[in-house]
Amino acid sequence: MPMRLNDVNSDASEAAFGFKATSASLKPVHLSQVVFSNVLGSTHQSEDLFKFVEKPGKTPSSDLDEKYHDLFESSRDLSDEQMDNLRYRMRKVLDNDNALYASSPRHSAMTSMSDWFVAYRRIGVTPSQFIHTVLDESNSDINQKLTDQLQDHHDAISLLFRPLAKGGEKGNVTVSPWEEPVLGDAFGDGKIADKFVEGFETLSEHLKDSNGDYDLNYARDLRRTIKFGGFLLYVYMANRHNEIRKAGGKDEPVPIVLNYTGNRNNPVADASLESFRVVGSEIQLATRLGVKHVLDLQGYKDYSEEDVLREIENHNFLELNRNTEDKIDQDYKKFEQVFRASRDPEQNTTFHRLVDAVSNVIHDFSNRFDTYTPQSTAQTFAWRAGILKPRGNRANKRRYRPDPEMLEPILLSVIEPGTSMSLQDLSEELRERYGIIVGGTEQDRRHLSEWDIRLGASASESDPLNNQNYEGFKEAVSSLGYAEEYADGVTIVSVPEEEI
Amino acid sequence: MGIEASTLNLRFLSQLAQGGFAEQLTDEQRREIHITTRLDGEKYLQDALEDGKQVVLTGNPGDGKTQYILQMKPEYPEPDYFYLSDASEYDDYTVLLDKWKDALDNGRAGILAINDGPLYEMTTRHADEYPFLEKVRSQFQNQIIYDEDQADSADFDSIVVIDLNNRNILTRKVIGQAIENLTSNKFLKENNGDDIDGHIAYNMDKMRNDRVRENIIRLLQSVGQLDAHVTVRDLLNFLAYCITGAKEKSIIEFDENLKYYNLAFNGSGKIFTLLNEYFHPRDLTHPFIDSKLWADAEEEVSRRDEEDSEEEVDQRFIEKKRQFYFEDVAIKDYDARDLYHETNYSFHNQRNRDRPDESVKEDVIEMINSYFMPDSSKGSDLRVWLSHNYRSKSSLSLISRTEIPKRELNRRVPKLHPEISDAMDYNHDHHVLEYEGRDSTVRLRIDPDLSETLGALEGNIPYILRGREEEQQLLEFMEEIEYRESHDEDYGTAHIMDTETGELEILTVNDDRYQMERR
Repeated sequence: MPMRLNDVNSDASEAAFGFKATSASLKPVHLSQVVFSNVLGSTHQSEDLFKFVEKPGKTPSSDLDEKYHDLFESSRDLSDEQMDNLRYRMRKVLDNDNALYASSPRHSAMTSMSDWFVAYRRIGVTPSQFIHTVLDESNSDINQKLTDQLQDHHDAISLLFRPLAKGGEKGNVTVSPWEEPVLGDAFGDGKIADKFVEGFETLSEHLKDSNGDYDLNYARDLRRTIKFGGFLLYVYMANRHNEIRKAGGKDEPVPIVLNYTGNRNNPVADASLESFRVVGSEIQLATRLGVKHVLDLQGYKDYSEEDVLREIENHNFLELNRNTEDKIDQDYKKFEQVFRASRDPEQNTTFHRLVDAVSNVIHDFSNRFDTYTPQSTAQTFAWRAGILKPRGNRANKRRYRPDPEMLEPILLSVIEPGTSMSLQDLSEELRERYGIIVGGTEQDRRHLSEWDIRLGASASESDPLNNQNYEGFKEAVSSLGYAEEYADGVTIVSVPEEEI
Repeated sequence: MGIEASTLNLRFLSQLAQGGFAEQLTDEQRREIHITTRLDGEKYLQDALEDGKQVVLTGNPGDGKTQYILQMKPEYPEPDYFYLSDASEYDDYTVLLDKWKDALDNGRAGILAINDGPLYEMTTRHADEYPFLEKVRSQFQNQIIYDEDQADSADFDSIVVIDLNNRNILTRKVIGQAIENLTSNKFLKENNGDDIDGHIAYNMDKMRNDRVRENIIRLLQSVGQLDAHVTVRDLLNFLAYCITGAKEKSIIEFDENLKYYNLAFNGSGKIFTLLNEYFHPRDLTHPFIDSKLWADAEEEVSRRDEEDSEEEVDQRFIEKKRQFYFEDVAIKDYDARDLYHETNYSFHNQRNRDRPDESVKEDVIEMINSYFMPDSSKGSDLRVWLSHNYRSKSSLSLISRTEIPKRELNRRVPKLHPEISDAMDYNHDHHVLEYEGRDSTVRLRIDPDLSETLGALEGNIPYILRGREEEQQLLEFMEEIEYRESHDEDYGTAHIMDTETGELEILTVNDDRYQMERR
């Protein structure tokens, strides 16, 4: 049977990571939808809501069912144009994450503030299940806190859509238990996922509680959870190869050098870029191990070089989604080139060369075979979630510089409420747990060199990682309101006990 | 070694100018530069010692803590009194804490100088073993209070903590004294008794001039209004540099660069940074003063008929303007303060302690309301907005269902705890808008940055171009308020703001039906 590269790509992702990270569309809001539906054990589907907030350009108010007009008192006073305008504005509230697609409800994701906006979705299902599993593993009441939050409808957004949403249909969600990826367990033995289990435990202590006196309209907690989940996804994928490789594994997590220098022309910015590239190649290497596993399962180990070349020549090797012979011809030529050029330095067998070739064409940057790899998924997701800068599809030379909204839950996952630690201890903690490097710890350079990341010298600044960058990080923590600078260079980071 | 020679020489002044502040000053030097502040001048420390209290002076290096100990010791000698001048000498704080505890148990009054970092560390790590640290911690955290109730939470009976970080030393009295100390004629004598001439003599002479001294005081007082902590050491460093330019010898033939008004912008240290950031002659403009000074500069330069005159004129203009800051005689009817007294006027006006809280509160509410709804000039209720999304971008729309009546909001001005308010001057660098929930309060800290952001509205800056960080502060304040409010689930009026166009829709939800508000 001819090989479908896209299936190999997604099966490889599943084998390596335990989920399909093969979507260009994955946005944080998709994770929120699936994670929340898993937390709630249910979804809520309101056709009325969806129809009403459809783009007025697509369904003008004049074509809208009478029952929607009837929702308005003295609706006859409302012109179609006014109604269009109103619908357009209301739509924006739910489309604040730019993921409301008129044509395909299943891929749409509304900006959710309560369970009324949590529906069954197709995007990001398996990655979100992983996040939910980590959340679930944590020894905390985070599920309960999120459920209480989501079931509260006192907030402005729920109120606004109440007439359209509250009658929606409830569907039960059966959360299938997480299956560990075949290439190696995600949890246990101090794996990075465990650090996030711990992280969610601490984070949950910062989330507001329902004590009966107050409604729980606190959107920030929902955002904190999803932001941290997004960070988890990225860091987990970055470290996967190191966890499943047979030999040569490193002791420290992949470094993520945060660039707080404020510019892009200095050794820290370069190291940040370098660490971003290392993450990319690590994710690619993990996927490659997945490819190997998939091809083995499909019996390609039995192929000789002649078999492969013959099948290629007969155009029988790949299943291609092409209409013209010309294109098919070009695709095969490309594949053949790659296969002939591929080498496996240690085990120069046909199978290993084939694995190499398939992995390479999947990752081909021209995307000729229309495969959106875990590497691209992680990268695109990371700028959407506010881990990488700059944003946008066309940006290049991205570097790690988390948004304040992203940095906050990361800090809250490390510092217990009502406690404090020095900024240096915090930096050490972030480095050990997540591989985050900001400067200020004694182990930074050793950690970086373990991953072959060089920190060059600066002509204008002495030790920019420990000075300029560490200062910048301190400012970022300060402006979140968590740091206080004392004399003798001591900066204390503390998070107050929740007042309510 | 010339042991007999006075240590009050230019070498000492130039060391001060370089910020080098040897902890080992000679007694003579120490006396000469000692500036009497409210702490010792108004007998705060003396009274405390006589009342048998232990005073913990904390703050940054350069705040003059050790200086006070040395000043008090002769009159209140050891071992009757207990002194600790350098906590950082102790690797193990428990050694220090044992001594401290002994002194306390024996009822020995005294002064302890401990930088705020170590003090914080002690109070967080060792409070269990040394219960008196709990008292220290609560005082340390309640130096600044917003209302009287808060004052009760700290006990000042046997220990008094004074955080000099909160002290504004840029007061008329302190600056005047510092100028007097550093421009003393004692510095202008050679070892052999001859008078010293040159740039240092020139600068001292100028700075002793009443008008110049008055302008230095006014300018530095304005610096003191900024959100930055300036220490005694910073002040001495600044003045000494203005006098010497960090030179140990007075230069007989000197040019513009060594004149005090240019030196005031060229040294390195806290005050120099603040001056260049907030009072740079290029940034503070005045149509009349500038045109006059520019014309003068042009005339001087063209007289010399040199090339590159444009740059020359500019350079000369800046120098003249710096000179004008201090010697504002060049132009009749205008003085230096015309250049800088309106810097961030709205903030200074708002934080003014003398203005009634009610009126400031309404101003602030109105400014926040009009930040989100430019048409609004409502000061009676605060509209609370919600911004919500999961991606890393500003919201396309904001939504609101709540208004908070002004009676639930308070404007608070921070002040020193009454127990220490006589110990120093405090300059509040912010004020707060406070929401009092049922069992907890939420505060919005209004500092110059936030005030500027809110004020920018008068310039009609489009919403999408506004600073995200300050807006984040506003929205977080609002989210905390919203969390503490109770609402109906099925009734309310929602405001929807399109942040790209600034357009607003208002919709009332009642009994699961909508009612549009006509606007």
